Amino acid sequence: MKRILLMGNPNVGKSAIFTRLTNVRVIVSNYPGTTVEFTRGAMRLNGQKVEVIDAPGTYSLEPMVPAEKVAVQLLQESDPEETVIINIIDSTNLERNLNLTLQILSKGLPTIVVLNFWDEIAHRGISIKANKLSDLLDARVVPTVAITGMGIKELKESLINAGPSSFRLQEDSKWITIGKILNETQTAKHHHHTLLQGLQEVSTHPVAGFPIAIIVLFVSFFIIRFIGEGLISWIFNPLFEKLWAPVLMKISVLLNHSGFWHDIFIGKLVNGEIDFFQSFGILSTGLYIPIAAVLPYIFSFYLILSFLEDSGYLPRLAILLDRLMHQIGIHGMGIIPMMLGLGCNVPGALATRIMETRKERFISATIMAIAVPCMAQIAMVFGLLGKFGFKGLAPVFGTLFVVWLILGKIMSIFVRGESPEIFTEIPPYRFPYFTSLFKKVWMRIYWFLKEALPFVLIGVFIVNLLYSLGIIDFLSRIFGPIISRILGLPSAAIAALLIGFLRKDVAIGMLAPLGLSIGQLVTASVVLTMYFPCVATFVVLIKELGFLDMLKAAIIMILSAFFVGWVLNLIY
Amino acid sequence: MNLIEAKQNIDLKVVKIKGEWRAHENLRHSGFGSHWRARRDIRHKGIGRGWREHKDIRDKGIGRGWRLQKKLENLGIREGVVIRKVSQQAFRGPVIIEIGNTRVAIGCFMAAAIKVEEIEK
Repeated sequence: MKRILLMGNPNVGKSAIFTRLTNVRVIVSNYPGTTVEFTRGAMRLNGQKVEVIDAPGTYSLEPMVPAEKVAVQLLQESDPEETVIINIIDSTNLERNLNLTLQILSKGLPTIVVLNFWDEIAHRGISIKANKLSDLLDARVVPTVAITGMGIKELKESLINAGPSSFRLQEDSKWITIGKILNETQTAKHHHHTLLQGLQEVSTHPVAGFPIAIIVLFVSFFIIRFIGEGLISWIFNPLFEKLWAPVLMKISVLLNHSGFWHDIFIGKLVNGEIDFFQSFGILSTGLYIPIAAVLPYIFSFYLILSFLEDSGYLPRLAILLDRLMHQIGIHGMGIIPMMLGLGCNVPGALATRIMETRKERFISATIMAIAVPCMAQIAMVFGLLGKFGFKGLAPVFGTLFVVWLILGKIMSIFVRGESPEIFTEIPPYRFPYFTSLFKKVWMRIYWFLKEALPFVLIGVFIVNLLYSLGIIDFLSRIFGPIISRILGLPSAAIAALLIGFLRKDVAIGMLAPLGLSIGQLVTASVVLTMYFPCVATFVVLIKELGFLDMLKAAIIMILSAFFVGWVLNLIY
Repeated sequence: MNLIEAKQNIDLKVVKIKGEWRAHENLRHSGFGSHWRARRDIRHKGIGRGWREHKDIRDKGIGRGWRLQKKLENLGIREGVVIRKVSQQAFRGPVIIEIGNTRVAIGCFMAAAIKVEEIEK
């Protein structure tokens, strides 16, 4: 045996079983030609290394969505001599899960059936005769509780001599067969609602659901910021300031404090020292932004998001907001990229892949990049316009919200494609399995470091090159007068717009010494937020949307930013 | 009656699952929005596209609504089973139903295509 394939419905605890079986090193890969991810790991069985694959959840072998197609393809590619299928079943939903089980058994591959959530059936007044089920299916049946590890040892032992089942399914009498199996193996008694079940009712209630959602979102946002800022100011900033800055200063001395290569690698020195926000060298700002400014937020964000995901709250939020989100052409799940974008646009852009169709991905990525300011930007806008109070802040955030709504509505009408209706199972609330949760967070961070970091470095390199060759100065001389006329900003503010491509909070900070009026500040802040995403988001968006769609999104961004800027200029 | 019109928290038997492509009519009869708005929504949601665009499916004599029937069947919702409507979000939002121990959120158009009848106690 060389391969173990985990298959089952969504939300049956597949990843928890996967985590129990495999060692630390796991790889997330896209199935060739799709954006569907699946996880691969390895385990030792009788001293032999065996590959373990966690296939995407599927309800049947007749796939309806891309993720299900991938799961079915993984099964079809399996060599019967070399593969064992572990079919994981949610014991509390035996009937629905057996539909897939019978289809898998009929394929004739060696299969082990795992009855997960074995501890929950007692609470729900259900009892299942596992031995009887094993006889009827002609396959080994192992009850497990993935979170506590119950049954995992038996599962590993039974992997060694797993064989194919002789069970064959008649498609037209499928549900009759399932009914018979249930009659012989399962008895269900009436049970009373538990507190968690009561909470489930309330959190999707058409009225009471909304205040609960606001509280959950507010608390999540607060924790994300708390952890993110904590990591930045207690770990990453000291590391960069105390350890990395002296190394860079030594290199700077070696390069004689100036020159072409100094500008590329170290950047410009501010008051004779390295300023990680303003130096713009590959080794200074290029490393600092992704590692010290973005990574802590990515970690804290994914930690909380994975918690909300694994506990079962996210689908409920999507249901509550589904109607509103359909107004802008995406379904309820579209709230997730928007939420993430408020922390940092990079994870927001990554999250657009949860959307089903190209249209939904395009709309959510574009309006997220245009109208959702990241945390760093929000802080700078507060610093700049906070002294004017409500009069200064409301026009900025109010305009962005109106732009979000109007642009979303326009795109929902004109972007070709579909935004399908919501159709999702709502899993019961469960306490997350933390090992599996941290593994997931680690995989996402690893992905960020591997995929985004090199592109940020390349981006900084290119911008530095453009500066050194005088191209940026040239551009601001050419476009300065036009932009000044449309937006009513002085020429000096143009430099901020250019820097905004690298780091928006720094760019907004550059407006402070210019002595702009409140109207100019509002216009500049809104235009800076809208006109283009920062380099890190830009790179991730190219990867997620493809070059052509990103080009379209960029045109929409620039046109709408200048249009809104022009309107604001007229108003003030 | 369809699932939109059905009362909440009583046992309902699924009588028939029609194609969503008729949903604009189903919805209009339930007093939900105007005819043209529903038609536009059907276009935007891509309802019925599979059937229109895939000649092979039409040629096999598979009727409209097969896709929805399959999708629902995968979650255990098929003709003859007993379900319970838990809640309905405002303004043509999703309907939440309970089948066995599973809860499923179904878009309004799909819900309008599910015909149910109340079970006499």
